[in-house]
Amino acid sequence: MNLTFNQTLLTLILLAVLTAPATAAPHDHDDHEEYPTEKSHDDHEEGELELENAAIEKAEITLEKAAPAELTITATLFGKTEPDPQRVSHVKARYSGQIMSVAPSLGDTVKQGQELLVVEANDSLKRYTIKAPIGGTVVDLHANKGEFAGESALMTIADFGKLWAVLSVFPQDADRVKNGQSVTLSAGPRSAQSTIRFLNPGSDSQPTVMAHVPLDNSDGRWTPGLLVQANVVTDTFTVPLAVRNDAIHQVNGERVVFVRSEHGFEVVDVSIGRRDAHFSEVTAGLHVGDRYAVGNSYLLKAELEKSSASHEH
Amino acid sequence: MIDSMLRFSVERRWLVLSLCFVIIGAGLWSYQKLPIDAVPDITNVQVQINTTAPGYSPLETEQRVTFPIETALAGLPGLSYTRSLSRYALSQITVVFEEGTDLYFARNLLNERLSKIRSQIPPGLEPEMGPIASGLGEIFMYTVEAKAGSQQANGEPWDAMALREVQDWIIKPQLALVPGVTEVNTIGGFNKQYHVLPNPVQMLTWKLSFDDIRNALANNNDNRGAGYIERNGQQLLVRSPGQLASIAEIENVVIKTVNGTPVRIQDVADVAIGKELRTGAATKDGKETVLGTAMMLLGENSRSVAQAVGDKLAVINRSLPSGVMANPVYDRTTLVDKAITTVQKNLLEGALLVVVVLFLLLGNIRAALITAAVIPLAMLATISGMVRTGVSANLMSLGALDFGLIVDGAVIVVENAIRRLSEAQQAGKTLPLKERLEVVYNATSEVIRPSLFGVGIITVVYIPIFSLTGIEGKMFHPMAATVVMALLAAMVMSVTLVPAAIAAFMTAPVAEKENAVMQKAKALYRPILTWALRAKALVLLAAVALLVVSLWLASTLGREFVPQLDEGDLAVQSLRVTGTGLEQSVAMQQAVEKEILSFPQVKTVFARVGTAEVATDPMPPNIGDGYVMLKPADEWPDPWLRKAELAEQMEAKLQTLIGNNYEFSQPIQLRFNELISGVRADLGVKVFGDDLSVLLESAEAIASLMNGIEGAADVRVEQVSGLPVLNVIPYRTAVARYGLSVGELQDVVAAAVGGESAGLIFNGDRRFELMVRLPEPLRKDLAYLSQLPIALPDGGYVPLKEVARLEEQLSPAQISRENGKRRVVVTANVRGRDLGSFVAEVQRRVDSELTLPAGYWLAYGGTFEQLQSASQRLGIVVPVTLIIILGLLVMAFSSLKDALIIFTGVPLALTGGVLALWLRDMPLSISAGIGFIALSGIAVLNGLVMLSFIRELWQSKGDLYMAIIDGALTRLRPVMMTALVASLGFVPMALNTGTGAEVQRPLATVVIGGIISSTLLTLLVLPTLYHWLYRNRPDAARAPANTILEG
Repeated sequence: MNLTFNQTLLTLILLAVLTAPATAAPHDHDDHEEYPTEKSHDDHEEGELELENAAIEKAEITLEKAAPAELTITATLFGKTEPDPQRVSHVKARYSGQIMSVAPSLGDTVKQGQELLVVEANDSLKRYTIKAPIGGTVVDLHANKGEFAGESALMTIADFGKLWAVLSVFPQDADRVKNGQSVTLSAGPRSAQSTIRFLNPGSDSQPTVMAHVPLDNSDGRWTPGLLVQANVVTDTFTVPLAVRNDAIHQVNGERVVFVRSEHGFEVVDVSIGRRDAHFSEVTAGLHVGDRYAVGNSYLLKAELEKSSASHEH
Repeated sequence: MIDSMLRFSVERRWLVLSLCFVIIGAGLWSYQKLPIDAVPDITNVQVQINTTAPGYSPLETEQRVTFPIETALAGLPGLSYTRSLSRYALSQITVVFEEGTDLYFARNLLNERLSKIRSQIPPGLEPEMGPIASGLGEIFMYTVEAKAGSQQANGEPWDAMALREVQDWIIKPQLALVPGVTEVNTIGGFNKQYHVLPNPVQMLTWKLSFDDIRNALANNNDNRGAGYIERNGQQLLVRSPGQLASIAEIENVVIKTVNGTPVRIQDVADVAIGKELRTGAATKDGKETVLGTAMMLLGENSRSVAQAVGDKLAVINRSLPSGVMANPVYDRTTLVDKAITTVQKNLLEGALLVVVVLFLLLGNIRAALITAAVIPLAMLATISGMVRTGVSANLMSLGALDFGLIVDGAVIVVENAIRRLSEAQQAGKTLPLKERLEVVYNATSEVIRPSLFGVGIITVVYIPIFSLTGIEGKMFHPMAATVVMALLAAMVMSVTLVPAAIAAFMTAPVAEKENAVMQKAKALYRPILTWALRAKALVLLAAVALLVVSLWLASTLGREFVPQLDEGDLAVQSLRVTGTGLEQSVAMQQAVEKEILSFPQVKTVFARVGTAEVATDPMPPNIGDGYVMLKPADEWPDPWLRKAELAEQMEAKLQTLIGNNYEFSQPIQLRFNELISGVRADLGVKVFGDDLSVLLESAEAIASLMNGIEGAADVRVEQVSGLPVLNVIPYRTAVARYGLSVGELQDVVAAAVGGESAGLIFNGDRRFELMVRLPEPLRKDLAYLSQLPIALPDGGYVPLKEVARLEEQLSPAQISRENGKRRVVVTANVRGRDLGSFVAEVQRRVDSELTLPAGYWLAYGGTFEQLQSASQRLGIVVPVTLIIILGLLVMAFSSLKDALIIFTGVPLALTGGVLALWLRDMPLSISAGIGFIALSGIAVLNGLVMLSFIRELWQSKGDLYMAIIDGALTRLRPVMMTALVASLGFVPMALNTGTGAEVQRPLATVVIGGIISSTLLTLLVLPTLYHWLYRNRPDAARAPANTILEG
């Protein structure tokens, strides 16, 4: 614009002067208003971000020391709670006959060996008692006094004090989910700790492996058929050097960490190994004891790249 | 014709005088309609087409929205060019029409085209045209705030969402009705939404999908009318209300029934009032706020509209919930008032000075008043003309009005009439009416031609200004138009009203005695003139030397485009790196504001971050437009601190906040920059093509090539990439294996992260979106997202990562297109080298060293284009104007020699202008350039007056030397008078320091300096030169006869 203007102005003066030679137009316009000039950090090399202490303080950047850390790798799985098949009993009459009496009602808790029913056998007309094969709750009852006890189950006793969480393991996680790994199960407000007891393939129509996790339900908070989310700790290990995930930024396609130096921060390229939800293993670029920026470290990235910040339509 | 007009005016003087009332009436009436603003509107004829595309990334926006619309615009009549940008969730196409196109016509055309292509863009997206406003449109801004400690009706403290609700449903509807307001734009706070936040695990339990939930909500949220029945003669309307109105009602919507158990929303989801995914935020004094902007309809009077908005806001404030108030933070009235005060003061003081000078030199109060009466009348006539031609009153258009200059013609007429009247009276005491009229007629017609001629020339010199185009044109056309109108009005008056008034009012004996001032002046002038005539060589050489010195001085002066109008406030644009999130950007903006607020000069500071509801300025979230409202200077600790210095101090302090870049400007300036945009550097090389990466590659190649060329500075490639994007890329086979389709998968991701609308919740007039999306903690958790269970058709589920790859990538942050094609611009400025040769070298080297792939091409733009076209135009227009003036002079004197002699006044006038600028340490600017233009006209007028009389005397008396001495002495008074009134008329302007004075000051300075030098030199050099050139022909008989001037 200034140039247009120079020329325009000149020509205007030309009008006035008639003979004014076009000498007065060295293109030495000063235009720092219109074109922001490159700012401070361009005069030292990449990799160093010089900052005043006051500025760092004002930005409230928090530092942490690079140190060994224990990484916990987890997998999130979903599944359902199921009753323990060994703890469900469908009570049937040994000899068919007429039911003379029924002791427990639906929902009653029975002990092992407790009398449940008295049946009069058709053949011998003798009465016999059916006792509870296991302790548990009467969850199903199809027997009333005077009814006929035949082939079908009369009542179902289930012990929900122990449940199984059956988790679907999809192919991508199948390699790392193993027996014995610890699991945090949760469903709504409930949560419990356990370990994977065994794995078996699921139905043939699904590519999933089912992980079976015993679940103690002695307090009765869990119900069968509940959908649960499971966080499986698939691996735990200690790495010699790790940084917080929040400290890692992408600059020019490289992963970097900002390390506090004497005059500000050093921009350090790092190689990242394994990572968990909080920490990342650093395999190269950083040393134990380096103080790196975590909280508000985004501001450092912003400062580093700010010369590219512009508003163009 | 002029003679008959003069005779008519003198004889029917009362009739002619009654014309005054017509002029006054028309002027006053027009004044009511005159658009008043602070600065001229430099916006081009443009319409923005904005399409909000929620959730669309830049690439999708471009492909689905921008492209179809842009393509449909091709071939519109009057279309100049289109440019567009596609960002996250926003497509903006700016359609620029040729100058002079009627905006409403253009909008109609666009509307027609848009309605045709509605079906080609994704359903639900609505392209909308931006408000009918220009860059001056943002006239009033206010924030909606709550008093500390005040509470909403439900006992909760006011938060940004509640305040936004007040803005949207109480304030905005009322303000939008204020006449002259075209749009009320809101930014900040959150749109209130009802959020249904399903827990994925619960959804799995009941085998529900997002679609199930959304459908259930949509199907249970309607009122239905069912016609009417007649019963016992009475009509009974039937309706079935079923709209959801509260959170409890939403919670109880049944999604489906499983084994006889109804599964309700509350079984699988939380329902809460939630925040929209907003694209913009506003802050004030370091806190989040809600900011409303009233936009003025194009062509309205900004002052009255801003005032009306302010008044309305005061009324609305009374009806706001207690504890909430809407505070005006920016009111254009203030600036306009200040600017208008400056102009008024200048004009009034100038006019007063002119009257005083006239009285002192004419020694006759009546004559002075008659001359001075031309000032208001010409002003009123000009106002009528401005309204007719659509020129708005502002610092620029009124800035060049110099009443001294305008009354020049009248001054010459009145001066001569008085001289002749007093001569006639000395002969025969009081004159009888008829004789007096005759004297007036003769006196007027004697000088009317040179005077009209001179004024005509002053008018002609403004012609080149009309050939300026672009921004310069828009800025200076109104100025030239106003001056020309005022001059023409004064010219007409000097042949009609002025003679009529002299005839009517100069009845008393005119005691025209040479007053003391004139006698002194003459006594001083005569010896100097005779000396000059003797020392011709010395005088002429001195004049040439002066000219050379001032030319050299001119080349050392600084340069600027147009002196920037001091708006009294600052704008600080904070720029952050692409990809910075809105909340992060807001936090950084708040820190910036706290720093700014620590300056005692600052009254308040507020900012817009990101894009407002109506995307008049489509800023990404990483940019904040901050407005710094300053206290009046007398409340500053150091009232003499210049604003530029304050800005520097601020910038220095803000540099301690890391992560921000700043650009300082002023509110209106900022807006103009945003609207006009285009390439703002000296040279812009635009690469057009399809593939962004190829474009970028080519652009970078060009940039490195340009960097190697001497003179290149600030070479930059347009920032297009750098926006981090999380790509969810479906594995097609896996998707198919689980019986899903890619579309279903994408729907789930979109619903989970972005949310899906399930209808509206009505609350009286207010309506709020009902959204279904993942709970916030889960939404943000990338690890969780990869595990997100996706419901399968058979009732099972699959985690997202089994069927799709999640990948973080940098992708284009913005895609710019121009004239329907993608483009990337490389810009560069040029330092220490002539721009023309630089551009030529770039073009040559790019042509020879760079091969673009097929389908890619280049275009060159930037200010060099303007430079080329402007210099071409001026290169033709300026010489033509010069020839016209010369031609007029030759016609007047039928002598090229005389014409050229008069022309020498022009460079001589220039010397004073340059000196004045140098003395006041002012840069050369276009404003100063306009001053030089006015000056050259005045200089010619001076020479004309002087020379025509000398020639007349020479002809009648026959002695060149005596003719020169007598002529120069007789013409001392009119020359001094015209010079004095013209320069004194500008004195207030040159000295004023009020708002807007900086635009007028250079012009006034140049004119004053130039007139002083030109007058001195006219009085000395012109006679000398004349005598020198005609020394060999002291024969009166051979003096050429005046043609035009003698009639």
